[in-house]
Amino acid sequence: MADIIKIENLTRKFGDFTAVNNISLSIKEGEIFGLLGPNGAGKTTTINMLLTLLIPTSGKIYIDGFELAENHERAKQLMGLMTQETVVEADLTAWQNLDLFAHLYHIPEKEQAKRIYEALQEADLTNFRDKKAGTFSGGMQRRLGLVRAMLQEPKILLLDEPTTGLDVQNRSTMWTRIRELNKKGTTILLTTQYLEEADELCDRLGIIDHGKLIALGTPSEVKRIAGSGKVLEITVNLQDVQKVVSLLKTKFGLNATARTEKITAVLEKDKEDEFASISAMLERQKIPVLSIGLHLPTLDDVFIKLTGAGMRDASGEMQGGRTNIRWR
Amino acid sequence: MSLLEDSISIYKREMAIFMANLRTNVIRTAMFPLVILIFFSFLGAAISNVPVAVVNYANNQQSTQLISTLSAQNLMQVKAVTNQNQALSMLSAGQVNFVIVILPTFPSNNGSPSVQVYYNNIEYSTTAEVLPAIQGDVALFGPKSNFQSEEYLPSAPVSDPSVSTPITSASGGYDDFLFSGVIGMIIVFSSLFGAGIGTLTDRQGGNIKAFLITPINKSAIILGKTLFSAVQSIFSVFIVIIIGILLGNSIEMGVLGIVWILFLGMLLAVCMTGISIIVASRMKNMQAFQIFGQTIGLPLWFISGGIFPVTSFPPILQAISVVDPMTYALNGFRFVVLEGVFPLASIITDVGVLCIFAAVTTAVAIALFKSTID
Repeated sequence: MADIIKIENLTRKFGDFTAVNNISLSIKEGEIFGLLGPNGAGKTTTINMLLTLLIPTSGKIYIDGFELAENHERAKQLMGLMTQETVVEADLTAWQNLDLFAHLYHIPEKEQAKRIYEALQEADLTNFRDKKAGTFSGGMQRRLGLVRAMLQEPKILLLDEPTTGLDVQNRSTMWTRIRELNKKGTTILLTTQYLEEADELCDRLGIIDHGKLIALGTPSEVKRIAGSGKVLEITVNLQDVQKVVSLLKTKFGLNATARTEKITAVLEKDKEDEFASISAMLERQKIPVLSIGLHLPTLDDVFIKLTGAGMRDASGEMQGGRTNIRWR
Repeated sequence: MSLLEDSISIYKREMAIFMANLRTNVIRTAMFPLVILIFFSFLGAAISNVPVAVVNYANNQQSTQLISTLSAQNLMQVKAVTNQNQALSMLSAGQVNFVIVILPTFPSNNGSPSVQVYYNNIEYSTTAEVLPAIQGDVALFGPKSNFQSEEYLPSAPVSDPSVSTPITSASGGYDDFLFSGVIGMIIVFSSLFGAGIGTLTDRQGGNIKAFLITPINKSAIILGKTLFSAVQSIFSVFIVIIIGILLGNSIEMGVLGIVWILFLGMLLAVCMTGISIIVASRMKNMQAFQIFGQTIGLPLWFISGGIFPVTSFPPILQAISVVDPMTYALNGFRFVVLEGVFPLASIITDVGVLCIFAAVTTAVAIALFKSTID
């Protein structure tokens, strides 16, 4: 399938800070592509450049075969956006909200009413069409935001952390809607800091950290980065962590990573039997084990493997570096 | 074409937000002018029984009638004095605030005025109230040019009446003067505060980002907001006019005057919206904008002569008032409200300056707004 979005050597700097560092990737028409990374990794900056809200410091973006820099208007017609803070106009009714954007997207006058009506049905808001959006629940507002983003029938839907802050039920409803839109042919680019979301939804994904693309592929391809075997996870008291790490190294030849009390190491396929011996060894050494287990590699393991830190840790560290649109 | 359509879309959005909060907006627009018009107009309205000395050299039927006309109102407390020097010494001593000398020629006017008024200007508002009243009474008996007044300083000799300037100040009272000032004030409040705070809220809330990802013309966001401010000013000014008329103020020029006021008001609203968006583009938060509003917005109104006439200001403030667009709008309002006329020279100056201001502030606002979107 054709590449509907093509990003070449994209870089964006804010003063000395490089928010996006030489990223290249392609998104195929009809796929769900996930951009995964902690807060401040550069996901939103990338999205904002796709939306022409930010001008790249260097690099090129092609949307549906056209270079973005020279075809802002055309590209904007092709893309819809919903963000985590997607703002509906609180003082306007559901109908007025959609009517406003029908005008802003230059949807032909004749079609407007029909599209708005369909959108309200789609969002399950027909009965609330004349109620102010500000009185809606969070889930209703997001539904309205989503149909508003789809009003001009874009080929590409950009979802910037679409489920951040939603409860479990609303999240799974949102996932269902995203899949439905995708089935109808919409290419979806979503950013997320939830590993399970990327794993669950995406056909392909890219992991981004400190502005760099550090992994790219299908979820299973990416997970293989963590190793073809299983992940050993041991939790011990803090004072024992270093001892356990060195024991794993000397006795089993394992490269273990420690984060506070949690130690992880990859057991390659042929070494999975060693789980029992490791467990026995810890008992012999009289090290109190809080928990021990084996699991299939997750994206978190990939992230740890690639960056040496977990997603949550990285997200805490980078909290201050979050870049939205910069207002000087 | 698309710029106009986009601007109208944004305008409709602003209007829908305004209409969604109509009751709050009416109350907010009405309360402040109401309070100011009620309390501040006492500055003029409360004046009564001002002591006035009258020297009657004419001693004819008309002069006696003039004196009884002057005494008929509560405004003045008339004391008959036999000669001018005695009356002026009473003025110097502060026993009276005005001396009215009715010259022997009264009521005819043989090339020079036949009523000479001396006053001290200790209380601005008293002077503004009483002088026009005396002038009005004198005009009942002959041509307006019969009346001449000058400020009397105790140390200075009484100057030749022929070189002193005839009064040209407001024909209405202070409450009408304030009324036209409050019309200007409401525009500052609705446009200067409204547009900037609205833009900041939209920016912080992400609404502007939502607009920018649509294929609309970026200038349309500002033009739409400006258009809304202009229309909103019609609403605000109407409310103030209704309140003013209910409180007994009048617009000398009538319906045509209201049309003029609305026209000037819209121009002023465009200027204020421009200034407001320029400042909001450079500010990061609401608190900073409110500091701006208090330190710049209110002085803009004061300096333009909203509460006191510009002529009573020290030279430095008068100089600043020249670059305050509001000065020109208020000047226009005053002619219409107080004089009932709108002289051609004033039309050209006031409308011309306001148009230039409006064009420049809007252009700069659009440029700055665009530059904040990297």
